[in-house]
Amino acid sequence: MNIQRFTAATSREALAKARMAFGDGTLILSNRPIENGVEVVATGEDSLAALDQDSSNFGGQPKQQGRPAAQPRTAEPTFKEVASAVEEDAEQLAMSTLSFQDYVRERMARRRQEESPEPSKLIRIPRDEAPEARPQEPRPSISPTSHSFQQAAAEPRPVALKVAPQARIEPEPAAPQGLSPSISRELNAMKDLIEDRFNTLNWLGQARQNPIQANLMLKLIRAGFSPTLSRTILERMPEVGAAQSMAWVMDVLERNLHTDAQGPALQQEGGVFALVGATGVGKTTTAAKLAGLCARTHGPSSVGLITLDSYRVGAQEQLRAYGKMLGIVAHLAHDRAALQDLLGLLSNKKMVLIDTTGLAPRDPRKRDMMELLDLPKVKRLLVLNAGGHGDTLEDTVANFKLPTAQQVIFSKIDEAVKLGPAIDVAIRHQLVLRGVTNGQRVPEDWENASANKLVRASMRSAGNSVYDPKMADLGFIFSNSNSLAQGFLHA
Amino acid sequence: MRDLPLNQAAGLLGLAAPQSAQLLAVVAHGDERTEQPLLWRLSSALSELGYSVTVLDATVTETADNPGLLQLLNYQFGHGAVEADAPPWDVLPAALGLQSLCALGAKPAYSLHRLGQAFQANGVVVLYAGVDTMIKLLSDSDLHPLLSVSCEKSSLLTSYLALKRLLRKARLEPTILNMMEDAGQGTGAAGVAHALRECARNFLAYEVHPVRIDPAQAELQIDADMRRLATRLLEHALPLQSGQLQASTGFELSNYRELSRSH
Repeated sequence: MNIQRFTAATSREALAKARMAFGDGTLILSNRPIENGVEVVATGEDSLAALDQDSSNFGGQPKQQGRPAAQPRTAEPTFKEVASAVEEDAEQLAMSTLSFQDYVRERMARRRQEESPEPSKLIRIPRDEAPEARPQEPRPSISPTSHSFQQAAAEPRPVALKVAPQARIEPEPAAPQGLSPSISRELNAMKDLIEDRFNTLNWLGQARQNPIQANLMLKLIRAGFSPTLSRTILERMPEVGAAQSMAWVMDVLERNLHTDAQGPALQQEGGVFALVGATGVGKTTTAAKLAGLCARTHGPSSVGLITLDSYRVGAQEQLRAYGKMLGIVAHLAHDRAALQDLLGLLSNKKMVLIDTTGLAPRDPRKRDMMELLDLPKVKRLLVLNAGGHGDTLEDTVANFKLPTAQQVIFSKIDEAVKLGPAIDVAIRHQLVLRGVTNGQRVPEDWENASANKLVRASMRSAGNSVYDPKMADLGFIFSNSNSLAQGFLHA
Repeated sequence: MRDLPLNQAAGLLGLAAPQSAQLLAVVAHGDERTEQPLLWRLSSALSELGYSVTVLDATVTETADNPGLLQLLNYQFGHGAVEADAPPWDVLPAALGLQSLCALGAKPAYSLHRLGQAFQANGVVVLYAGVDTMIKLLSDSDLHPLLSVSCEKSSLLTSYLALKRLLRKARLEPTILNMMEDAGQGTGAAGVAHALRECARNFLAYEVHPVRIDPAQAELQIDADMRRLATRLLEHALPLQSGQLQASTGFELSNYRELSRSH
């Protein structure tokens, strides 16, 4: 393993030096300003390949890779130590990617004991969100670990070697002169990945040192919240007691789950609403419930029903049956012109409900249907099965989402074991929750959206489940999580 | 054991308006070759939608051999279909019955109330009558009578006259149906539709927004179009209140109450 440090007055010069040393296969492990200019730590691509292929080579002397020109020009002796440490790291890394996280923690603990970190050796990891967002009070129990993790991040650890092949797609707008754009892109992507991984490990290590935070983290994950949202919330959590922490987390979730509680309910607001969503989420039944609610408030003649579903067998008949019970007519619109015509016909209604064909999020017909609904005054209500898996809900929302504010209804919350995924997706996509359905009865099983009630229900323990993660699993769960953008969450 | 409701939507039943027969109207303006097939298809479509359909044909007079609305109003005779190959709807001659309803001097609300008592609560009554009958029975209501226009030469004149009288005398806004091929501007069938639109605009200051059904297209397509037309007409159907007379028809009720007291 051959890692060298190059210093120069400018970044371009330092990179040129590195390239002269390692040729086209230069990998930049770090790049930071120093007092006299810029310091670049680099290695050769060949070294990385050899490291992956033959981990047994790492036990002996550093293997010289590269070309004759690869003799170090500006290498400093102290980096031999670094190289040696990297080799040890690589041995661990070669065993298992998962165990690397534990290894890093152990390594950091060892470092902490051996030496106190010198500020000059620390490399600050740029983060997506400002650290100011987090309460600034130092935590005695976790600060040493925190330092150690930062130190680990400062060094060009072999983690870069493991993840480098995955990081070849990130665009790099401004490639340094002397490097081909593809290599530059690769290096930047690799750098981002390393930083992100260390950032996560750093945070996770801190969180684990704090029992309150660790417990809350586990609770959020078990409730079905995503690692991304959980981390974003916990990063901002102030130093308070266990009970207050729990209350704080629930308060944050509640404040960030947007509902129509401050405004009129759907049936009072009125207008034209199209219920869209995946198959089997309960759009037709929800339409019937809304029709019943509007009929209760304003009379049956205030409701108009339209179905676009000419595909599912019995879809029209189902809506028509509900309509007949109310004494109203359910219309069928087969194309955009017919829909516009019907909207004109029903323009005197308080509420017009359009039931649509349930479509899988990636169904090519979805685009046609969304275009059909792209009419002024038609507001779309995305119906989400509250019991759906987080990834499924995410996919649905991503594919049905509008550029404007999206309104959503949670269906079947009585069937949902965990409400966390639905609440999570609503918070992250900033959806406005207009109501929930909690049973089959039409229209009785409808509730106005209450963030407080839903969040409390989501955090209620549902007992032991074989799917519940354990504390030891958190490292794996959080290995790919990123914090949300700053300002996204109102904590 | 927990009592379960009849079905999941039992709660809707309590929110529904009082069930009553719905009255639709098809204008007879002398174009039988278009109107009668249309009436047939419309009745079929309504039956397919699950309604019990009765057509009151005001162009035919009731007789002892062919009883109709008059007998129904007077004697409450059963008019269920008896023929094996009969369509799933009833057709009753209704000229005298409607005449008697309108000749009482009663207000339309009373006439319609009597009419409603003769039919099932969940049924649809299709009144096939000329404009004169509609003026007497349906003036100022929310009903949208169906006025068909075909490519027949006389259709332009008769449909225009019917439109004018409906708008001016009965203050009813009809649903105009062009039973023809592409109704764009031009000659022949398209010319009729265009001419009717222009006449209505120029002489009645009324903008025609017709619905078009092409009789030359495939049967399945025509059936689908007819179902959409049927639901459209039902949207503006007139409820025939069979129980307590209510104000939902929009008629003046005070006269009816006075009439009821005098009886």
